[in-house]
Amino acid sequence: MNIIEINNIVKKYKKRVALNNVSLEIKEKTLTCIVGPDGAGKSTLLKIMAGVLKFDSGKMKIFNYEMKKLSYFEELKDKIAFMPQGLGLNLYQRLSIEENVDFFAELHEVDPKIRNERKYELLNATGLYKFKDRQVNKLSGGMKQKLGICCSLVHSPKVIILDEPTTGVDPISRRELYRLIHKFISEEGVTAIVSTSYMDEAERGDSVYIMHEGKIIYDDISSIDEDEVYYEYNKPDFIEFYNNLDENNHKFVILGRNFVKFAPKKPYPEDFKKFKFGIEENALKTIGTRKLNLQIKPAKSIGDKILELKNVTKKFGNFFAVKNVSFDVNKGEIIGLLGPNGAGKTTLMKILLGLYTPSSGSYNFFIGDNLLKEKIGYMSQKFSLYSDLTVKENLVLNGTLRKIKGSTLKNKIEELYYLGNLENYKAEIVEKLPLGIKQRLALMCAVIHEPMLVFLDEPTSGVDISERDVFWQIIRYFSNNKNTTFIVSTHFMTEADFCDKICLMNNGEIAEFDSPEALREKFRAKFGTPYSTQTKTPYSLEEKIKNMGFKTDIFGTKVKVYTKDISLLDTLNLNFKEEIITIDDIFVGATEDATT
Amino acid sequence: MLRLKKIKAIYKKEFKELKRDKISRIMVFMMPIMIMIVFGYGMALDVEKIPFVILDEDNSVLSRELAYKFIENTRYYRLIGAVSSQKEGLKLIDKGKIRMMIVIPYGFEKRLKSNKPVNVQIFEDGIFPYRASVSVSYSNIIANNFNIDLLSANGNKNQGIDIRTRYWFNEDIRQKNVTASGVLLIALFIGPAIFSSLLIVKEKEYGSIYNIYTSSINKAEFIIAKQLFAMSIFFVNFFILFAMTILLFNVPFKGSFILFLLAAIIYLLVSTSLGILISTFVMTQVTAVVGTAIICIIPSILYSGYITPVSSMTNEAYFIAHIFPNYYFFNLIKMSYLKGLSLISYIKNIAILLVFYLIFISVAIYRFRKYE
Repeated sequence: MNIIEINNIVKKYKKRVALNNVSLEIKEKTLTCIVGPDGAGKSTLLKIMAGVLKFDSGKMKIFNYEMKKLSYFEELKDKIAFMPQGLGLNLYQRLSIEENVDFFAELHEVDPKIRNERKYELLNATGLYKFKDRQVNKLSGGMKQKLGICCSLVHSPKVIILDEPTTGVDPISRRELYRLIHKFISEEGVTAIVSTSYMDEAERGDSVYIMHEGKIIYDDISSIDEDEVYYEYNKPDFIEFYNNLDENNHKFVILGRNFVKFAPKKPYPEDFKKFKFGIEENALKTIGTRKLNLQIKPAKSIGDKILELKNVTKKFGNFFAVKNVSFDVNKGEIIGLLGPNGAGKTTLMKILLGLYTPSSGSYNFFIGDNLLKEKIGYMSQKFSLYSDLTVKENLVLNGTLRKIKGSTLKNKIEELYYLGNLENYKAEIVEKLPLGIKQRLALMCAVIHEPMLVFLDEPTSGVDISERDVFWQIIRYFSNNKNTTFIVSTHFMTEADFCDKICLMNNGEIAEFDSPEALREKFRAKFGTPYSTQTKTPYSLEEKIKNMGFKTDIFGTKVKVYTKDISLLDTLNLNFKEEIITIDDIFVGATEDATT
Repeated sequence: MLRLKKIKAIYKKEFKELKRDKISRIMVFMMPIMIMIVFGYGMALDVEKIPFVILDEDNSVLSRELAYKFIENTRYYRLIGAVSSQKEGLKLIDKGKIRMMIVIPYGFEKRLKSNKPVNVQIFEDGIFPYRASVSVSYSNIIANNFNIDLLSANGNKNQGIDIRTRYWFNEDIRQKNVTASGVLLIALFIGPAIFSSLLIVKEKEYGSIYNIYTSSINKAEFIIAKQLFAMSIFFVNFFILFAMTILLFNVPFKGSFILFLLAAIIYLLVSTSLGILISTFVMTQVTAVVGTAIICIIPSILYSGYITPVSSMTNEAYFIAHIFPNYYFFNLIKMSYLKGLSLISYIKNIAILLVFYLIFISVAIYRFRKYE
């Protein structure tokens, strides 16, 4: 049965179209994932379903009632729970965990006897019971989101709508959140709708909708084409191969760290590794990718050490924002700093930039010049551009600040237009540009003085997959052709595969630091290989396998098992398929290990 | 139908939040006290202890007598000293050391004795016209007294009219009685309005308002719960401020306390519902504070009669004063503190305040939306 049915909904904010003829169906007792970048319309859609936003045209049915007016929602409100975007923003920061749950219960007039039972049950299921007297502002992001779910569920609604519950949350908590949602679906018959900006979470839903620019560009009901395949080219000359690809003959072309992923319009005669289209590939096909004409150098040289950190620590009061961080950076490397919100990525960058003094420990640049800041570029999280100036004015301003003048500046800016693919936007006011272009411009501003080392703080946060690919092409160009060193922070675990080395951070400490291959091997040696199996009852199957002593995870209708010997599971008589080890897996493995 | 359980849930939550939030707690209780102190002392418009110098060019018995008349009046004037030239005195005025210079010209005694008119010059610092004119009128009175004394000394028994004034309601015309009790007008208006608008806007800004949007609580229940909470905070504040007017500023209280308390409660209902009404227009806490402050300060200070009596306002201002609630509460304050009560005008003013309350709260409930 469909709990929610939406037909051709249109929503406009003044002139901007936020939802353009969106239709979808939500089935009872399922988890629906709505995936898309910032500004795709996810929040608008969820708010409309929660009855807190009007729409301009179209039809919506909830529990088979047509919602002609917003006031019709009033009778349904105790059956629908909505958790807005942002870490714990709908919680009351100064109340304790228990008081928050109590308030939600009282607001929905839950009978006090039932309430206490329910509260105990929910807090136990989320593992929050032992912290029940702690104030919300002292909780981690993951705990806040779990509490948010508890608060949403306390009055036993039929539908829960969660807007980006996993953004900025650490991978372990993310898995726990999804497990919780599956638990309530299978045990209480809840219907859940979750939005996310992480493409790799799409598979966790029973059904998936991908949104892009106000439209649904993929849904697993109508978009599946069994025959579509893509190829991966991973020989050493993959960059030459990439440079020579003609994008017009392809549905999409993506450059990875040591491979090229591409889907030709006509089948290739040559023999490449073939893969079936997944959700991400379907999205890429619709959005399309753009290969810049950059002629990236095939090989890059990794030089000597240019930065060394020794036990860098930063304390704010009693809180360690960064704790005992040590690593070396060599010239030409791309280092990825990965971790959830609050892991210490930004603090670490600010220490290296000289904006904070470390509480203890030291770091050294081996750049051979006293004018360190002339050799360093920095792109801050969100605020590095002047949004009332044009693209050109921003570049001129940044160049002038760096004392680049006259014809040198003019030539440099022309070059940056070309590299950043900004030729068409020279005279545009920055504020009106899409996020992806803004981020490219910010990168160009950070490299205008040809620095040796560039810090990028979450440059691709909120940007769609296609723009992200363009951004990484440019980084790769600077890295290979100009031998620029990059330190990039991100909370997209999938981006780690673009980096030469990744530094996994959690609670201010380094959980792992190595190349992606080495980390994968380490994981395999320790936890084994992931396998997955399809099932109709993922939650109960996962519990069963977990109780047999295996490490497990749920992905929508799939259950993942990590084992060195899959034959141990032969007794279950299930069909297991080998999966690749994701950076997410590595992160969970490394941090779980550290906590237990 | 209002469901008490829902109102209680919101009220309890607000109470707990304030209990944990030290900064807001200090703000809520200290702000009105600060306003009381700042306005109570700072707005006193009494012109007293004017610093002055004397330039006595005549240096005779009569000139010294006139000078002494000014010097002995220590309530209004304060002698800084004598100067030997106009230039010196004007310099002191320029520097702001004195505000007045009296020049008694050469030949003062001689001319008076030969029954010729004589001019005494007064230089007055005119930066604040009100203060200057009050000072000049004091001087005129002193000069008149001097003339009368002079006449009677010359054997003229006919002294002319002598006006004896007795000030009613505020016997020793202490401005402080009005400014201090009048601060209630400001402190019970701006504070509650800002506080109650923040109570709603903070939830909008953080995102917790979605909990309200998506629950079955109705608009009136939500707004009334918030208002009740604001009311209880400022109910406590009222007692503190009232005690300050009596104990710190020594303002006499002549009316009935119970009736004044009732008036204050209704005034608080007006200010809190105005704050809630403003909150339906704004999205962020900063705009709520700035907007509410601007909207509240003008009527409560300028149009209430606190600075200029409403009856002496020009036609437009007189009309504007009547469409703000503050004027009516100021009437009630004056009645309670200074005049003692007349029941009919008490009821009239209370009734008008109630109308303001009903209008503000119903528009606020109408305007509040349970969606974005």
